[in-house]
Amino acid sequence: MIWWLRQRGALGLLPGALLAFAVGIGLTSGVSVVFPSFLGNYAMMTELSTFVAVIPGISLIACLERRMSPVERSAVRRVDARDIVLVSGFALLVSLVAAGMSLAGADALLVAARNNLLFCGLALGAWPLLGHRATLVPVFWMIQSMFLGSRSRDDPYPWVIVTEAADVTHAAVGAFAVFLAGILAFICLVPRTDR
Amino acid sequence: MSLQLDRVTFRYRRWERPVLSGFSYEVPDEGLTILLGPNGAGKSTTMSLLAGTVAPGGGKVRLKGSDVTSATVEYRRHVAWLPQKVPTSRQLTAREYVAYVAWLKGEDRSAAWERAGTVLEQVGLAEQSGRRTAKLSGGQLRRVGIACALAHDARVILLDEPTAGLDPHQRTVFRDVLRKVTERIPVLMSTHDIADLADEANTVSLMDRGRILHHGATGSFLEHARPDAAAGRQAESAYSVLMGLEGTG
Repeated sequence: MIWWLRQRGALGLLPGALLAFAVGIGLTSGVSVVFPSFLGNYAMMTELSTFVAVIPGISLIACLERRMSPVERSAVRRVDARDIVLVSGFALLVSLVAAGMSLAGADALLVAARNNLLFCGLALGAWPLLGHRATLVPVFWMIQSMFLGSRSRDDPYPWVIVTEAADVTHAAVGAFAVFLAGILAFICLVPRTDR
Repeated sequence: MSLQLDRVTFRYRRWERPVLSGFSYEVPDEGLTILLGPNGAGKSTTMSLLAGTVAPGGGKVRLKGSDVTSATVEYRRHVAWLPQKVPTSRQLTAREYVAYVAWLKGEDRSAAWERAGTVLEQVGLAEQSGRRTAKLSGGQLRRVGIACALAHDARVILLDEPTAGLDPHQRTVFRDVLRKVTERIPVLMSTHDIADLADEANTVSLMDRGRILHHGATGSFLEHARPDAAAGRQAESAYSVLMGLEGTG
């Protein structure tokens, strides 16, 4: 199994992404940037750490793109099942780390934990259909949220999720639902390797 | 042990015409069989079906004379497949790569590691075993692919155009390795290199548009060559005649 872990980058890429995420949100927590809104004519304040939350989702796609499909598709072992455990476990671990860091008091870290689940769900759900281009989906979601997602000042549309405050329940539920949907799509659309 | 396609139908997309329809084929259980045909003949589809990487829409892909189909672990354990484009890895060395493939095929870790070292020696890559596969040449990578097949007790080896893109020296080295392998394990190889390989093969199958046009010993294949075909060009001539590209003269 060690070769599978190495091939996927579970010993280098993913820990690196986790470290970059933790350091990134730690450094940018509380720092906000203002982007123009194209709907509603209100500028949108966005926590810089929200951008950092894209890193784990992108690293998951990089990890999955290391699959050696032609070889692995004729395998006897369930590599696909291991992949599901790896990517979902990593996404949850990243959110747990951010949630743990938020105990120090910064709400932005809790937002990063929630947004990480959203971005990972989007990336995983898109990957079976888009391949490496799936990295663009969380980035696209981030961009459209900033420019189109505000009803009025500091009042994002409910579907935007990423720019909602940490204590908004529907955003947390929505992010988790997207994560579960992404995992489900991954399970359904990625062929089993042992048959 | 032999593999068999039994009245197989396969299409890549539901709305497309089938690439194979009611197609039956049996891989001979010894020596080297080469599968010839132009692009689009269905060679790679046939290889993928036999390798179990795609499932037929109808019919069966199985071990001859049994109910063990390509969807089962037992079938996959005994079939080795070298795809047209061997994937490389920046993370794994040649030995780790071979061991990984053996592990994927059900070998345990220590056995896979031991076998990887042995088979890399057999294909003449012992000195390269510590190099990342992404740094190997095309010919070395094909030999790594052969090593992968040998590392897990395959009973049949499927090679999809393994000599494509190799320079003459690499091709010669590859053929030497292949000759040793076919003494022990039956090999089915799809290729365009008729002139190179017709002499090496025990059996030649020619397919076009999802149908087998010829299947038999190499000698019977060469009998189709035009009488005036130059020495060393009989295989090409036989191919052209069977494909209807030229008359029998």
